[in-house]
Amino acid sequence: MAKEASSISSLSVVDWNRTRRVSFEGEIEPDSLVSEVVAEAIHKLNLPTNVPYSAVHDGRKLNSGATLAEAELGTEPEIMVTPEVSAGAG
Amino acid sequence: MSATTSTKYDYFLEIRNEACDRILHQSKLPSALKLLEHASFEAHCSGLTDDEMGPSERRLIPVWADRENSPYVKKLEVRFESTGGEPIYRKEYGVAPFLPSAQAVAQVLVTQGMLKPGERFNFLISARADGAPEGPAQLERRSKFKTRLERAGFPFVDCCVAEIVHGARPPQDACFDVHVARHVLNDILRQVGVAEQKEQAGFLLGRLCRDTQTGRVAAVVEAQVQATAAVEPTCTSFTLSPSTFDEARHVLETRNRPGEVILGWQHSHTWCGKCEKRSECQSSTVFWSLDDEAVHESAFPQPYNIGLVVGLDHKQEGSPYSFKMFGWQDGLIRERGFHVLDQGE
Repeated sequence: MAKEASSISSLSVVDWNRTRRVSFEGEIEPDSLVSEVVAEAIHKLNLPTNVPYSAVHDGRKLNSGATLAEAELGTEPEIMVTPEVSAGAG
Repeated sequence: MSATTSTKYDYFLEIRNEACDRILHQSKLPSALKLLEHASFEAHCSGLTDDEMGPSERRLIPVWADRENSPYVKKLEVRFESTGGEPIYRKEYGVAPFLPSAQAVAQVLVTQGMLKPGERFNFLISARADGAPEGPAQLERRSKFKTRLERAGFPFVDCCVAEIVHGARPPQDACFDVHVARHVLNDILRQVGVAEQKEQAGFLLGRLCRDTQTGRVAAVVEAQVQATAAVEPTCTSFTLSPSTFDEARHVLETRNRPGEVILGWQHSHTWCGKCEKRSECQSSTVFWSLDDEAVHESAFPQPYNIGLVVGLDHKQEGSPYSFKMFGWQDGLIRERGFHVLDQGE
């Protein structure tokens, strides 16, 4: 049975170290993709765009292809973005 | 010559081919957050207090290239002014801090066939006064979102640095000093030994101290937390994934020590187990790779963030491990010095 999505009244995205926050203002379309929100936040956070990032909500990694409604984030979610990068001599 | 200070500018990235006679890409740059943050930190490091910085106007002003009427800039000046227009702090940056943005665009151009893999390119930064007639539509990034950026202040802790470091003077090759406790280095070396021929990584924890006497800033690394790999590390790479960062945050919160923050990260370079050229393997030496650059750029962008690398020093008998430190300077990642804090020193 499909769940009824609660509408998002405010949305913010923080970097993993919680030094910067991007607040999304105005109406947030529930059919916006998680990947669109992440891309916007990365742009605003001035982070390099040639690195893949993941979105995490309450310890749960979000599917980047899901809509905000499908991601079941609650009404005032805070999403954390983290890079997925490899260090080393390779 | 700088432009007038009252005008606000938008900045644009232009990618050209190697001969510089063909424009491959133009786009509006995102905010100048990076340069403003770095200048703000350096202003604090120069001894300016929060009170002196006050609610200053922070401007980014183009320093034009020499050609007449050129829209291109050779430098950018960050200028902080009081509300009365009095100068508080100024700093000039070259355009090199925009290189990562240019490289990211170049990668896309390669996938689009506009650049060949490995082909050299040039990048230029231009400025246009805010309110000037619109440029080509593709220069403006369209967004369906309205957003607002907030950044936390720098996590300075007022303390007497001389008491912590017992008067030691580290190499002063950057705007702030770094002291690393000996036991942290020993802990890293122990981890390297346990990891055998696999890379290991960790997070550096400590305080960002601002000396109450001199105002000089010092990062004091007092602990390190081993990073948990979500993907099995190899002899040439260690992957930092969301769970790695989440766990580091969790450890920091659990420790709950006043003023303690994540100052940076560390990782090792090692040799591959069956390699016959172990004694001359360059991959196992202590150096900063392009991959390391990407980690630091994306995960440790704060001006006080540091990266420590441990690797083998083949120039010395027995190839002992040695450390090198990298950090932000003038908006770029560069090798920098640090001081080892011995117990009781």
